[in-house]
Amino acid sequence: MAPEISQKKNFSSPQQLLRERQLIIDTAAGDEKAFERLYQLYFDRLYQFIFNIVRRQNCIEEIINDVMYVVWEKASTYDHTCRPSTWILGIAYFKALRGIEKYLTRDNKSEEYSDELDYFPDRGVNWVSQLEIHNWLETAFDQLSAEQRAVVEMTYFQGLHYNEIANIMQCPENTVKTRMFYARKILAKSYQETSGS
Amino acid sequence: MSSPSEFSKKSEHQKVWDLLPWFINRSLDATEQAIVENHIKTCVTCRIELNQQQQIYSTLQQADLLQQVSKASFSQLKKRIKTEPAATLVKGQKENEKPWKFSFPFPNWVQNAAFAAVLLLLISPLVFYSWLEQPAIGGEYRTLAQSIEPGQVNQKSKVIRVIFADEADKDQIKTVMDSLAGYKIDGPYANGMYEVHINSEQANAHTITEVITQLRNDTSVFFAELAHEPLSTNQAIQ
Repeated sequence: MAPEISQKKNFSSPQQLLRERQLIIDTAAGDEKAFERLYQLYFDRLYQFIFNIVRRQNCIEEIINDVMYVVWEKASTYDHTCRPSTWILGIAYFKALRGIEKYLTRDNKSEEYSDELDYFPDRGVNWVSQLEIHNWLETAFDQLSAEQRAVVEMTYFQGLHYNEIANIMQCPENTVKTRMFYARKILAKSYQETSGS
Repeated sequence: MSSPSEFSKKSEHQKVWDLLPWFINRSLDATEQAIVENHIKTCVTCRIELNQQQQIYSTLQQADLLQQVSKASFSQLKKRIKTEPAATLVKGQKENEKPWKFSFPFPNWVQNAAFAAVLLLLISPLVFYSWLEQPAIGGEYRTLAQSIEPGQVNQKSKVIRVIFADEADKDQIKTVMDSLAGYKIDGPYANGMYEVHINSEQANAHTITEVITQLRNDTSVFFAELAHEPLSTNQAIQ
C-alpha cells in the first residue's frame, strides 16, 4: 500500500543525473558556461536546503557561493560514485553548519544518544484539513536542531534515501534515523498544536 | 522476558517505524518497500504514524519557500526588537519626535533634571507667594524664591531680577527702571532678564519685598524676584 503522494520535485530522473554529471565534467574542464548552468540549476535547491538548516536568509547567498566555489575548484575530484546532488549537498551541508557557527549561537537540541525511544505516535490527535502551514512549520523548525532540520530537509524536500543522507552528513545511517525520529515527534507536536487540537 | 517471536515483532515494528519517512518519499529499495507494506497491513500504530507523517509531508510540499523565508526573517526581527527595546525607543524618538535640539544622546538623568527645572519654573511663583507670608525657612538651603529676614540684607540681597513682558517697549522698560531707586547691573541677558541693584542704604527685606510687589503689579513686568547670586558675576545665564 504505497502512499498516495506525488513528489513535488523530481531531482533524480536519469536525464537529470546525466545532465548534472556532464555539467560537472565540463566545469572541471574550465567551462564557465557549464558552471553557470550548474549554478543556476542548483541555486533554488541549495537556497531551500541551506535555509532549512540555518533558518535565516541573510547569509544564504554567501553560503551558496561558498559551496559553488568549492564545486568550481574541486569539480575534477568528483569521482561519479555518488549522485552529483549527493556530492554538492554534502558540501552545502558542512558549509551551512559552518554558517550557523558563524551567524548563530543555537543550543544543540540533538538527542542522538538517548536509549529510550518511544515507538508510538502522540495520542489524542485530531487532524484538521486547513492549517496555517507556515506558522506551524516556522515553530517546528525552530525547535529542531540544525542536524534534525537537515535530515527533514533531505528527506521531505530533497527526496533522498537515508543512506544518501548518511553519506552527505558523514554519519551512521542509524544516526540519520534517530535524528528523523525526534524531528518527526517535534513536527507532529507542532502540527497538532497549531491546528488547535 | 520477551519470546523470540515477540522480540522479532518488536524489532520489525521499530525498523518499519524508522523507515516510514523514506517510505513516504519513495526512496526505499524494493526489499525495504515490501517490508514496510507488509508490516503496516497489520500494525495499526504504524498506520496512524504513516498517516500523520503523510499529512506533514504533504503540508511541507505545499509550503512556499519565500513565505518561509519571510517568516524566518520576521522572527529574527522580532527577536531583535525584544532584545533591543531601549535602543529602538530612542531611535524612534529621534526620527519621529525630535525632542532634542542636539543630536548627541542625553543620559536619562539629564532629561530628568531638565524636566525638574521646567517644573520648578512653573510652580515657583506659587511657592514664592506662599513663602513670603511665612517665617523664613531654616536650614542652609535657599531657593530663588526664598524670602529674607530683616537684618539679613546685604549687597547681594539688594539685587532684583526682572523680566519684562514681550509687549513692553523700550519706553515702558525705561519708565519702570527709572521708578526703581536703583540702577541696572546687567542685562538684558539672552532670556530677557535684567539685574537691578536697589540703592537705598536703608533698604531692608521689607523694602525690597515692596519693590518686588510693585514690579509684579506692573503689567509690563513678566517676572520679578530677589537675586541671591548676581548673574553678572557667575555668567550662569547666557
